[in-house]
Amino acid sequence: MLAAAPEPNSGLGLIQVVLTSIIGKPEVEVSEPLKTHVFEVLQAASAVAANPTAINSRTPSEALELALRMRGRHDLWQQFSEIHSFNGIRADVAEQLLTSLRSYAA
Amino acid sequence: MLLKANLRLLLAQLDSLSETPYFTSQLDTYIRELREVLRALLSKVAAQPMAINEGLAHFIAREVWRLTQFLTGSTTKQIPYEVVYAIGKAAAEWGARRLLITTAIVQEANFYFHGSSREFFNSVERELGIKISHQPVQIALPYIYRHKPLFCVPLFHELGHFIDTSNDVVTTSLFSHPENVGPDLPDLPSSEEIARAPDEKRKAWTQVVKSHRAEYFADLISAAYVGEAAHGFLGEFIPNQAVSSSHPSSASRYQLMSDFLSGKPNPILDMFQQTLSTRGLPALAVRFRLPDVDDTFGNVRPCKLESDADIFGAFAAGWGFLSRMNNKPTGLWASLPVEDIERVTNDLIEKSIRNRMISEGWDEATNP
Repeated sequence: MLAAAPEPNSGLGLIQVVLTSIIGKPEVEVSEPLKTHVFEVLQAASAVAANPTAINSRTPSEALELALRMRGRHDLWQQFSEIHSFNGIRADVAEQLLTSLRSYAA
Repeated sequence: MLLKANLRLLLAQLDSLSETPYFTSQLDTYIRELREVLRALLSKVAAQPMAINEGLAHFIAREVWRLTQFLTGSTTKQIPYEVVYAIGKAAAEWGARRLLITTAIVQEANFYFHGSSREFFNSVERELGIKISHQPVQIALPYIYRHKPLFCVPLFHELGHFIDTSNDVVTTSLFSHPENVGPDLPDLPSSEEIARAPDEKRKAWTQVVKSHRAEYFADLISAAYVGEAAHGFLGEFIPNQAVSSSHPSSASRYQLMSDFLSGKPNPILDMFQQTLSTRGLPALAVRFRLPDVDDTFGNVRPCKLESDADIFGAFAAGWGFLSRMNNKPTGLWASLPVEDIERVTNDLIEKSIRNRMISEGWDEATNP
């Protein structure tokens, strides 16, 4: 196989695109609505990680998958709790999130 | 360069597919919408400077490519109409979204399901202003079974994977019932052993537990719709498969389906019932009614299916009938060559479902 195949049923492809763009500072940034969306997903994942009993029928799919993969990374969620907007996500935090997602799959 | 070339090639393929007759008008609409996505994306990628984030453009292009795979088997000459109709009925019971069954006919001896990223659909609406009206349920089945509805019962298992991934059933179960708490799964180390494992090893076990739970859940959905046919087909297709990192052993899978169908308590089933409730979904329950096929099929006539539950039950009843006639043919069937018993039973199932499709279509047309 030429390259690692994306997980066929993972819902985190878009999150990975956006986190990568924070690190790489591409020529064209992701749109503002997408930034807002990803920040909301990260917030929802953080809430699930802090209190899994709060999961209900409205909990977004991406947030659940992200929270599951990040279980046990209290340090990262702690850092994230101090961020109040998408633009506040530093490249090193984005890198740690991405690395955690990759290490789960390994 | 390659991204633009890929988008043009995919557009050419979809243009060509759009000239093919399809099973439903929804498929025509769906292809038209995917073509619009490609045209809009091409225009943004070709702009100077590029008018979309490159990573996002690759993400959208990859998803369209994956979706296109499952359109080649959906043409009128390929699609197993009756099975797709039944799967569509079952899928509709699990969510409010408008669903579309798309199929890939494959040469390998396997059935599988590919999810469609909900984020892809949201992204194209958000970034390109195009709303795709249906979410596809993408299933692949072997070419030689495309007109053998009784051999397509594993598609109900694949439907189970769709219900799981589109509602995060297994993912949610890992919060309420973590792998280091239980319930213990057959063939795997106990939850206590997993809890004691070093971090990296525990992560690997989490993945295995997740995969096994997904298979058990899909088996339960299959048993809920087609009863003993789910177990029966699996028993002949993969009779004694040993446990692997992705799948439980065949024996453990039969046990859970059997417990479910006989109403015997099982902690794995209890876990899923609790999870389904958390996600606001219906409980796992038998969703079929067995039509009496002995009289009709016995006289080589299709049976009348009065409801959706009868349609699902036709698979269970048909499987039982085929097994009985195969082992000890009686009446008219005793004079049939053995190879015709399978062919005629499958034909009778196809015709029974087709008759139901026609009568439903008639009712809808006359009572709009």
